[in-house]
Amino acid sequence: MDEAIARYPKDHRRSATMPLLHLWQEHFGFIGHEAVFWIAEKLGLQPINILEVVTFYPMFRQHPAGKTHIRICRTLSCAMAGGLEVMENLCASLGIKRPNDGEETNNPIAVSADGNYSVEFVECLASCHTAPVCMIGEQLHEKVDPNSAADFFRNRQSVIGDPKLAWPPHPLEHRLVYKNIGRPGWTSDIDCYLRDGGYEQLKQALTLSRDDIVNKVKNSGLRGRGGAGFSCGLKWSFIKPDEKRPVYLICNADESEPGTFKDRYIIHEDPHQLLEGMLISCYALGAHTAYIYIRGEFPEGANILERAIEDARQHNFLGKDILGSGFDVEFYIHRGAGAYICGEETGLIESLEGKRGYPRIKPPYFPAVLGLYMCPTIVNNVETLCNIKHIIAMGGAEYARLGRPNNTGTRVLCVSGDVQRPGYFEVEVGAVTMGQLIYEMAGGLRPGRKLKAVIPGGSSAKVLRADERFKIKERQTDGSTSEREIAIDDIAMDFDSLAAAGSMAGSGGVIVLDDSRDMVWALNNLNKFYAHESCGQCTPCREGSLWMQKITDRMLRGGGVVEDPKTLKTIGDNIAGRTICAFGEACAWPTQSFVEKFPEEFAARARKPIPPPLPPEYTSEELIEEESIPTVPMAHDPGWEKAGAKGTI
Amino acid sequence: MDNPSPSPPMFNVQIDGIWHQFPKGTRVIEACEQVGVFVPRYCYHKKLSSPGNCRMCLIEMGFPRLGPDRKPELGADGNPIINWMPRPQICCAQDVAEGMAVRTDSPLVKECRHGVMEFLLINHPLDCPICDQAGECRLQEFSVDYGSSQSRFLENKVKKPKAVQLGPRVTLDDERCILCSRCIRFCQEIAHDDVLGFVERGSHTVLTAHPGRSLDNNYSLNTVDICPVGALTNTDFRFKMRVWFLKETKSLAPLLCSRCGNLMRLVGSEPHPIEAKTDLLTYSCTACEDLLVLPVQISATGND
Repeated sequence: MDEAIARYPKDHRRSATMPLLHLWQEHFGFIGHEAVFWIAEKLGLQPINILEVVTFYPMFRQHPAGKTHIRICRTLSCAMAGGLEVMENLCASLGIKRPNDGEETNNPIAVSADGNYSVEFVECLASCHTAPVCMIGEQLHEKVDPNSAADFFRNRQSVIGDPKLAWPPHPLEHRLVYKNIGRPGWTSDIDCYLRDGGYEQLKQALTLSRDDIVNKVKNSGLRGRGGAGFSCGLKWSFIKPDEKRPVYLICNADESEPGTFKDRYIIHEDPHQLLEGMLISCYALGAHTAYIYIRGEFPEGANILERAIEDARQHNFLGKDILGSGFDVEFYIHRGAGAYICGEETGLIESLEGKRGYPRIKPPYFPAVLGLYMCPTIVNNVETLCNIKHIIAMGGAEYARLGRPNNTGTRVLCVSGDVQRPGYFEVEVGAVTMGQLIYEMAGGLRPGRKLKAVIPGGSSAKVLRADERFKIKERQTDGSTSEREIAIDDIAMDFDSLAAAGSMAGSGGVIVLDDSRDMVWALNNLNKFYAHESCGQCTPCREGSLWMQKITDRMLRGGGVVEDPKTLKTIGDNIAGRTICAFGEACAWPTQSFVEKFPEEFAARARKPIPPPLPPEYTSEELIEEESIPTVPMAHDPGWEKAGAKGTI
Repeated sequence: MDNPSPSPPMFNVQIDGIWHQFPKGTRVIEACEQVGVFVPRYCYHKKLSSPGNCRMCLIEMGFPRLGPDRKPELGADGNPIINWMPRPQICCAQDVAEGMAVRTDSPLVKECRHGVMEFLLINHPLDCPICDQAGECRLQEFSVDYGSSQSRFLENKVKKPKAVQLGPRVTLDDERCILCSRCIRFCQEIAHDDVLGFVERGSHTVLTAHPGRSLDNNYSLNTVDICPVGALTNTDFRFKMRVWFLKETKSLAPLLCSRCGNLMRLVGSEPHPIEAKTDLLTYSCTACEDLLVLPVQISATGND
């Protein structure tokens, strides 16, 4: 435990809250009152500070779970593949009774009577192409067959399906970051990486000046791969070269956008590539400490990274005076605990500081100025940092030749949902169209099915309807712009084209829905995700996300009223752009776009002229138990008589 | 810095079309208030930090458009042309800056306030008839200005704990709480007694003290005072009286006047509501028989 505390600066022991909670839970199974008091004392905090953190992160349990704890993913791609049936069948065979859907409970875990098994629905486990997935203990199980799920869990047989869905790259792919992923004979250890010319770029970078590296990254035109697509070079240039305060680099490995699973493979199969990219970035930024914030649902990934860091330290790539350059740098892993909002950079920083993952207001808390511990901080996505290595190898200008102007490089697209061969594909940005991606690379839709809709950049991106026509403005080589109308298949998979089509490239998670899907059901699934993941800090998102979920819940139950589609749309309008962080848009965009683009389906589910009666909120017994009604006679009789004409007593 | 000027530099700020001057470091929300433009707010309190979480003070903000020479471009009327930000901004966390322009009465701003009011009320119990805060409740006040006459909310409200005794003097109704975090920040920043916090997440977030700890510091009644809604109520005053029947008397030494009237409660007054730290707690002492005991009690417990 002391080792975990020592990973953070002395003045910021609070950061160790989450590591200590993880350790406690691994040892005792759950976090009770003693844990809260003990950890608070250990870190010099108040118990409420710890309790706030424990209740914010769903992975921290306040109640004991079964000997075998099973987490089943319920988010869109898994739900489409039968994740909900997995839970149903499993509960039936294990004799576990879960609370009914919509019933409010603060313990999401249901334990079997004998205490051997417990189940829990969790949000996206970032393995959408092998849906449905679940985690048994710390082990991910992929492609679980909903119908044989019960036997599978009872017999505890080995993993169903291939843990590594490796296949040779598609001819349309351009593997750069994913060069080694799924490569035959490739392992995640450092020797394998060194044999392949690993850490050469680090050696090269250490001979360059910091400005050179930053300029290379600027020239490369690299845009962030986490979702916002912000220019990486520009972000880096916010750090002053003569900065007196410590500079921190944070690798955002909190991959939890539904539909996205690209970082998982980099971390699990090629961790040294990430470390090398981070080392070069640290050197360029003058950062001596870097944290890797990895989501809690990747315990194996965290172990692999720990080992990789240890190996790199043995080879003096990391630690004091790396490779004789005089530059000191240290990396630490910080595990999240199941909060999507911690992928937002300021939420991540708060979480790393040992608090609830509440995003900060910007201004004034821009991470590059007032980030981690109020010091300048750069937060980059895993894939972005890996690209840094290749920029050093190729040179900024050469890298910029990949892809399209303003959309340079390669990026990993994750395809999931109703396609024959879901998976990851690394392509030059904009080099393939949506049609090529779905029909050629991902094997097209299932026989007899037609495309209905595509969510092109993680679940937050606005949905695109298959029969829509998109007006795309294109810049010609002579500088003029022309507009043409294209179908969904012809949209290039790059930042600008998808933005022009009214959606976004986001995190690169493409979810495909075929004509068998009910769009109200799909939206309800996403709304549940957002209502569950909303941090609850600012009003519109906190209240709006749950309201939208409740409306779609009611529509699915057959109680949709005529005004519902309009109400949904206006709730979305009232959230988007009015919240502290981009989660507002993320939760509003699906609703806005689903309702706008599939009005006939929403209208069909919203036919009732008046709402159905609500189940009673309070039983009469509860009302009597209510202590708020005083039983002692009041000292003064409130009322006009007593108050008298003057209005005084 | 050879000759530091005694007064801070002044910035020109346009508020609703009129240019004013404010010293550097003035919050935009304060600047608006100084010129008589009140911006509704829940979470902002001038003595506390700004978390910007209620989103009630969203306004439109803009800065002068700069020409190629990095100087503001002037319009036909000689005033700078303003580039308005596409999104509304909160004005409680930002300081004034040179050339800043704000609009507090535009259709977009009104729409934002309508939206936030609706969100705040959907899970609010609307138990105003029996709420102690009624009559001095920010939710009621801003509902008059920005609320809608009809609810679109057809679902069940979120259930939360009611009538929680946070401490000897403070009672909490979590369903009424709008999670503005004023009380939490007060306890952290002013009282330096970090007992309150939010637990759970999203719409189910609940204000609470850690089980076993109570909000019993001498300043605890201030949290009731700064609570903009009826979530935190004074346990002694609970259900005693509608506040509009109270006669208000200003006093420096409430204990002395407490003998000659029927003292119902004490609240801190502007302009230093939070600095009136200790006196609030003495209300419950006025029931004591022997007033001579009281000064002793105050000096023993209430110190800054």
